[in-house]
Amino acid sequence: MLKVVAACGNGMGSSQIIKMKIEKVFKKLNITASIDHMSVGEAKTAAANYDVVFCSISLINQFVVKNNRTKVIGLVNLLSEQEIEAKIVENDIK
Amino acid sequence: MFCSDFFTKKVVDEEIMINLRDMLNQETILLQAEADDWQAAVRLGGQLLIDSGVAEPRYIDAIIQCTIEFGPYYVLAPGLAMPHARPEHGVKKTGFSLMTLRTPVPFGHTENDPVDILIFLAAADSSSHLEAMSQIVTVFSDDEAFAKIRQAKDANQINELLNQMVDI
Repeated sequence: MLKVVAACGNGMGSSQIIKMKIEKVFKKLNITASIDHMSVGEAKTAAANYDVVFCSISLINQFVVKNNRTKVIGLVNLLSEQEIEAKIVENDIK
Repeated sequence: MFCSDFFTKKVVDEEIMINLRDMLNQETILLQAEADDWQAAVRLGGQLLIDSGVAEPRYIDAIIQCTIEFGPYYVLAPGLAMPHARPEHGVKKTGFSLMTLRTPVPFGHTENDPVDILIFLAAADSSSHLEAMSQIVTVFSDDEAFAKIRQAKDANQINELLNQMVDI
């Protein structure tokens, strides 16, 4: 199963909104995923254990993951299911 | 043992039922306000959280500090920000406030600037604000509702909109 983490500055607000939205889009695309959410500080250390990291575009530079597994996706509009879907397809996530 | 478990569960359930409609009222809504920059906007809207008794003044300092440290990651969509920090930064109980700005201000976001709608969140724990936050997602995923909030001049207009859009 795909392992996904939603990250934001402190793990309380935006990351939970990202989680709500990506859950919906994964369901629509019939992708089974387990989705955690956490702060960027926690996620930086944990990122390598996930297949995909979703975060606000303003946090993307916080993640430097040196492996072939983890994809980091920065979102501009956290409420746009269209953007999330386009980026899932674009990054070949399944 | 069972009794105490039941009691704990019940308290948790009641906490989860925090509804956006109950949080946003005359005291926590400020419409068509004026702020010179993002820090002034955060202080002005954050004051509603302090005045309504959900956060201590240091919570607002923490939001500003987090923004300087990590950037404006809580700018959710074009024009919309949800400033917040963590429970230990001075939250007394879970609550929200809403502020709109007459003149939008930049938060330093690459694409979603400038911001003129701010939802302030004070979360006392990791779950009691989730129901209200999913209501925020519902309301602001709707372009028409977004425009109505942007133009609203009276808190009653916001309450009417929430009554129409949010069940429970």
